[in-house]
Amino acid sequence: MYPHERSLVEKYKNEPFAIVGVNSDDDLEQLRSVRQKENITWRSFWNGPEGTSGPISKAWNVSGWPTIYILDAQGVIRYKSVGADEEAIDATLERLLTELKTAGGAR
Amino acid sequence: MQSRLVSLSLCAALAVACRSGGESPPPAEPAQSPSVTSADDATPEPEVVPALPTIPVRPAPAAQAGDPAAGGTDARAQRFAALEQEHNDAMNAYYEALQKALGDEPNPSAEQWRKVSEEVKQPDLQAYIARARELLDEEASDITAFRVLTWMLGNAGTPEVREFALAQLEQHHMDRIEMGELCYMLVQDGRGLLDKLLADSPHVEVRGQACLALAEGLKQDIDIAGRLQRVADAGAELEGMQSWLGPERVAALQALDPAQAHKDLEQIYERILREFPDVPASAGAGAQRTLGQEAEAALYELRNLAVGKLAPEIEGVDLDQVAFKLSDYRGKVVLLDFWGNW
Repeated sequence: MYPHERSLVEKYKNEPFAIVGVNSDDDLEQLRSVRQKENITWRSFWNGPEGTSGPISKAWNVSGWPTIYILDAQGVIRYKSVGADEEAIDATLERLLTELKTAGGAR
Repeated sequence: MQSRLVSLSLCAALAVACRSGGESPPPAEPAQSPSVTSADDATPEPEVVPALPTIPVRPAPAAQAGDPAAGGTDARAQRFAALEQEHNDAMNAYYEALQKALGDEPNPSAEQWRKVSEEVKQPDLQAYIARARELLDEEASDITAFRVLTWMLGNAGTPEVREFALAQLEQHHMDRIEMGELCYMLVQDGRGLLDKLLADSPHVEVRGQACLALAEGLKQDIDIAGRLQRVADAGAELEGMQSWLGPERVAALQALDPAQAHKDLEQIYERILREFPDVPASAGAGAQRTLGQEAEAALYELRNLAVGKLAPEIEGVDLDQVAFKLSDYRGKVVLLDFWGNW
C-alpha cells in the first residue's frame, strides 16, 4: 500500500488531492519510525492506544484493514472498500479529479 | 504466512465448490486476493481473509470430545477427534510444504502456483470424508454427528459433500442450540437452511444468529454486485467471478437492485434490534458484543457511511499529537485510508 500511496502523492502533487490516514497501531513511537522509514508524507489521525478498537475506527464501524474511503471535494463518500484494490482506487480518483476540474469553472 | 496460505486455499476450495465437480484448480489467482486483515473484539490479532468476496473466516468450533454435554469421552467422540487431528496434521504438513516450495515468496505468480501445486499435493480429502460418513451412518443425530457435519462444512470443498451435510443438519439437528455456532458457515450456500432456522428454531440464540448471517449474506451480495458492475467490461475478471460463483449466481447478482437490497438489509438489521438485541454475538465467554450492538453499528454504517453520504467529521490528533479535522480537506479529493503497520 505505501508504494502505491507514494506514487499517488507524486502523481497528483499539483492537483487538489490529499491522502488522509487513520492509523490503528497502538505503539506511537514505533509508528513514527515506520513513518520515517517508509517516507509517509501524508497526515494520519492516530486511533489511540487501543489500536484497532480505538474511537475513530469504531465510529466508522471499520472491521477490516485496510479500509479505503474516497471522498469528493464536497466531502461526500464516493467509494469505499475493505482491502486496497489499486485499479479501482486509481480509476475513482481519476474520475473525481476530472469531475472537479470540469465543474471548476462553474463554481 | 500460514494463515495467508490457508485463506488462499479457502479461495481454491470455494472455486471448486462452485464448479460442477471439475479438476482441482490452482489456488486462487494471487493477484485477485489482496491480503486483507480483519480484527474484531474476539481476535485483536489481525487475521488474513480473502477480499473477494468477503468471507468471514473464523475458527471452526472445535470438537469437544471431553465435553460432558457431548456425551463424555465416548468412543464416537474420540474417533471423530482422532479423525479431525489427523486431518489437521495432514493439512499443516501440506501448508508447510507449500510454504517451503514457494520459498516465502509473498506474491507468487500464477505460474509459480501451478508449478508448486504440481509438486506439493493436497492431502486426499476423500479418505477423511469416507471416515466421517461412517460415523454418520452409525448414528446421524447425536452431538458427534453434529460435530462431524460441522467439520464437513468447514473442510469439504465439493458441492456434493456440502449439500449432503446441509441436508443432514436439516433432517436431524434443527432443534440444537449449537446450530447458532455454525450459522456463519451457511452465509454462502446455506441460505435456505438459515431461513428455516430463523423461522423454526426453538432457541432465540439460533434464530438471532441465523438472522445476522442472512444480513451478512445480503451484504456480501451487495458488495459482489458492486464489484460486478465495475468489472462489467473486463472479460478476464468477469470470467474469474463466473468460475468462482457460478454463472447463475453471477447473473442473479448482476440483476440485484442495489437500492432495494439496501432497504432489505436495513429491515433485517431492524428485525435483529427488535427480536434479538440481547443475544451474544459470538459463542464463548469474555466481554463481547450483542447482536443488537452489531445491528446498530451496521445500521449506522448503512445510513451514514454509504456511498453518496456526507462523510462524518473526524476530529483528532495526528501522529505528532497535533489536532486536525477531516473537514480541513474540503475542496480536495481525499483518499481516506484506515491503515496499520502490522
